[in-house]
Amino acid sequence: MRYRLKNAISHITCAGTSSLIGVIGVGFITALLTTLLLNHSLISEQSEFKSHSPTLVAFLKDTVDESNGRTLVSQLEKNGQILAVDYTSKADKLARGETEFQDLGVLIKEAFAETQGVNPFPASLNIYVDEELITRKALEHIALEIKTHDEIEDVMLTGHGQLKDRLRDSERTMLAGTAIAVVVVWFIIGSIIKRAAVARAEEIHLMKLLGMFRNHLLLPFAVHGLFLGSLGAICGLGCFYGMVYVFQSQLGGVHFLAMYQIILVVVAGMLIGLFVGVATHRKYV
Amino acid sequence: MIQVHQVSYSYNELSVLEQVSFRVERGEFVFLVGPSGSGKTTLLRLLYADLMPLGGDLSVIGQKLAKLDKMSLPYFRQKIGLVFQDFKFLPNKTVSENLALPQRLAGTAPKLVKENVNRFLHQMGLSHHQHALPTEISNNERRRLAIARAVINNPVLLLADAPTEDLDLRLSLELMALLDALNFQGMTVFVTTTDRKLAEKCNKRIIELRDGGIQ
Repeated sequence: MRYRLKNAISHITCAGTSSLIGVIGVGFITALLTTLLLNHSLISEQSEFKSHSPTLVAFLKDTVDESNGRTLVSQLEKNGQILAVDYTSKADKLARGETEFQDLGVLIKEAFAETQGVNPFPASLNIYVDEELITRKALEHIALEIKTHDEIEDVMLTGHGQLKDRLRDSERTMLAGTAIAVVVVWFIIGSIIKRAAVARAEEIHLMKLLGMFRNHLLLPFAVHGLFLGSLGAICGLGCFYGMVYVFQSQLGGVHFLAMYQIILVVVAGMLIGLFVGVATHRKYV
Repeated sequence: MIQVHQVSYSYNELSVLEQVSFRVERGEFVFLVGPSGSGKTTLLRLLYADLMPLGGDLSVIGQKLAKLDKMSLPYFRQKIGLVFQDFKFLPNKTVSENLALPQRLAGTAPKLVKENVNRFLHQMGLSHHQHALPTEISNNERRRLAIARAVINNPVLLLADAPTEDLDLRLSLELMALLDALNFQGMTVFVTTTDRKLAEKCNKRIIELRDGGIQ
């Protein structure tokens, strides 16, 4: 075991400073990938936070009474793309003003209680659609369609749909980024292990002449790949964590990746390194 | 032990060996004599399957080399001891590490490797150089180290490429006595040399290679 370990370490040192440059390269790619991952996590968190809010809010004209409002609800619910519609009366809105508009809501509520004047809050319809299946364009189309009803004053997209769009975009970006990162990391680690293999070419040839089995050098190649992949990933994560920590106040209290995500990144780095090590061994030994 | 039948080899257009045929029986000590560039090293490389012949059949220790695949090649080579003309030591490994290499490649237990290395270093008079690098010992000591490395796995066949090159007659005869002792223990020895006189002095079978053919 000691011999095998020494052999693996000597294999890593064969690549010289290239191994160090490789770790920096893999670290840099990991840091970029971590940025995408963190961005995706933040959007995902926001989306989760807003998941219970309606996709669209349609404000009714003041002239529309509750019975007309409820008739409109049943009309809108016939649309196959709409999951549910909740009616909220002007009185309910006034009652909820405190939570929705905070200080301003309290002020309006108190003024209304004292004077029993005009309730400034409009009745509204909270409209829920299945955003997983509906694109942003389709959502805008639904909003326009709702707006054509005479009872409707205005239709507002709450932004939850926008978040879903951003989430989809970030998912796509992250997938593309991960694919590119895998290719680049594969190339970096592959080049460095190849360099070590070329540096040891004469030694490998001699060992073959002396009866070396092909798998004898598998461990040094695999360990070299693991070393570059894991250390690069750890360094990248470490640097990124340092940046997040230093700029925490500017970033508005952004939390770093969850533990399972950190482990995932390191394991991915290790696996890529391992595969590249084995592939390079197959090619050069 | 060795059967060479109508073997030919050429480097690009330059023909080195043409229809070479000979046999070496088990336990023999044979000199392959020829001038520089006559194809001795090429023939030796063919025998340990570092090169494949362009024509003819080769059979070494009962194994037809044309039928050797990647899986069986290491087993085949572990049965052969090789002494290279330029020694081919690992320059950054010590004398004892170089000597241990064939044993490690064969998967010998570490404790046994250590024992064997110490025994061979002692036999070859290299014990005091065990921590030295191959570049730090004399030419004659390097030759002895090369022979020790070739025989440490107790091969059935020893192929030595010009082991007496650059040695004076006394040291050459000393080295031949060492190879003779190995041959006496049952090892088949096949040595290439340019020095015909030395081969005649040793009173062994001589195969002469000249202009790519056996004379």
